[in-house]
Amino acid sequence: MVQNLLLDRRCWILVLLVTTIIVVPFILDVSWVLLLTEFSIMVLFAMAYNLMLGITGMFSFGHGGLFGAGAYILAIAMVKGNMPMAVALTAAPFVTALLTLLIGWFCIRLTGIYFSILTLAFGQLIWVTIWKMRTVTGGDDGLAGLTVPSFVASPQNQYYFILALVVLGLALIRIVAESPMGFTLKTIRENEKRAQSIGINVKRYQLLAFILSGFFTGLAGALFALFQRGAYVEFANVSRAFEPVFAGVLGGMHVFWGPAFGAAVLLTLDKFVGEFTEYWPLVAGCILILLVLFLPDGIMGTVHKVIKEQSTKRNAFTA
Amino acid sequence: MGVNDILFQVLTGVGKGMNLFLLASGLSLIYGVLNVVNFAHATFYLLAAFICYSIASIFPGGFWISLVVAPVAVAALGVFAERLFSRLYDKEHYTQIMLAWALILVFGDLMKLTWGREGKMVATPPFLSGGIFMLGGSFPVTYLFVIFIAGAVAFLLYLALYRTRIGIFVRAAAADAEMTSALGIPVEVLYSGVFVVACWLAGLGGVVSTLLSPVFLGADLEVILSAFIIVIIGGMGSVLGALIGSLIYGVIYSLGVLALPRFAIVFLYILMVLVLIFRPYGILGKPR
Repeated sequence: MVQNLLLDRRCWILVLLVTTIIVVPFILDVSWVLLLTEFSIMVLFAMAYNLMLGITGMFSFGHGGLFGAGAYILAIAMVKGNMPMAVALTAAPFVTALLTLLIGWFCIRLTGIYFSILTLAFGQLIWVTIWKMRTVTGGDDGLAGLTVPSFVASPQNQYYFILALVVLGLALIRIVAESPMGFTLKTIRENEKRAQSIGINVKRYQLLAFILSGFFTGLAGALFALFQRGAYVEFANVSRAFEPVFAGVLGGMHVFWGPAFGAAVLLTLDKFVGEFTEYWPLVAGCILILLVLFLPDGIMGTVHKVIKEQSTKRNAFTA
Repeated sequence: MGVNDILFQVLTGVGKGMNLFLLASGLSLIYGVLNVVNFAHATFYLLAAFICYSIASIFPGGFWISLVVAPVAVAALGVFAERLFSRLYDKEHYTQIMLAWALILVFGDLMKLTWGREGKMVATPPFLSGGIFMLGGSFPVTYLFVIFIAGAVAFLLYLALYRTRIGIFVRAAAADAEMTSALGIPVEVLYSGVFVVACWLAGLGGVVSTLLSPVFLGADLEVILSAFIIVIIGGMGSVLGALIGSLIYGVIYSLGVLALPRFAIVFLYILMVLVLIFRPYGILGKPR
């Protein structure tokens, strides 16, 4: 009975969400549609990143670089190579994944903070390469003037197109997280030594998680370049690397949809606080301090915890 | 380009490197003793540089006043920051780094509120302007002054760590905090002390940096990444390593600028990556 009800409720939420998403461009004005498009890309970025930190327990500092790499691969292919969008958009996540394989192969040899710092170093190396390789990347001018095919040119169509790819990406991440492999990754997060001792090849799984995370990060970056009609150096800088971590900390990285929720909240706050003050980072910093010190499980993580406690209490009464 | 030009460039690099040593030594010390990676360390550096600008624009000879006052001011702020970090000493590294990021955001904006977004120049005090004739050219006194100050600090730091009782306690806490605490040494207080001293060093670095380059918002992120390169090369947790790393950084950067101006910084990131791959604990660090 209860199970059915729960299933029903989830079903309704899903139906409601899908209808909202489809109807939105008909009701809201263009600026909102654009905002939601940007939201969805950042949600994908946060969820892709969470494959590392939240699910496998690896703190990467270099995802800003990977995001930038995805964006630049698409932009270079389309602006300099005159390739069709379909090709560039397919190539971007795969090439980023290859790059991640190369980076990850070195990184997974290190543990703890050294792992994080090597990812930071690689991220910075990507950023500085983009910045200095003027002939290929346009240096600090970036690569502007990306022309998209007419069927995604209007903000509404672009919204549907990008959202469809984001949903596809999120579904794949969900499948990975709920697969046996996902559980293996969580085992590694909880206790690396124990995982090793029950016969899991920890390093291989860590590398795999890194590559998958890089793949979806590359996709997010490519979509962002599409959305911005170009790629710029700021896409890859170190601040970018903090964004998905912030989203994870805010939403709760150990709950599957936590980082997505966190990214949405963060962007909403960014827009609304940004309306009346240019000092959004000040507000964001204060929020982050409070979160790190007092709400380490994030919003969704804490809510889940409370619900769980309530239900065990209730069960204790009935039993 | 003669040999003299190259020597000049190397000396300039040493000056720049020694300036960064004041920052990197603190970063390394905090990691070695507290096991915290203080990504926000350069924010104290930048803050001190801005304070120096303000004092120097009010008082004649303000640079000298700020050389004493600004590091103390940011060290006082360090007490507050250390209290925040102390809640995360036994937590995962990412929480510490996110706290540091939060501090960077908050102080970045506070600095923007206070000093505006334009870069600031601090006038070189008359005593340090001009150059000294050497190697067939005129070498700016400011660089020599920075090398002198940072060298003196390095020496004092060595004395403090290796020739005093407190230094022994600090090194003991770095090696085994639990055991040190069991011997009745107040490790908590040592931690605060080390953090505050490191902030003071960063402040001093920030003040002398105004002699070499203008002060601008966002410089903290740029400088902290250089400091990371330095401590990785030298070895995290080692102060002597930070000194060696700073010199390597300065010299490679200055020679790189001479050879391939645009790619000097690329070399340094490549060097950092190589060190991390082949010897992650750096030249003088210890594997943990």
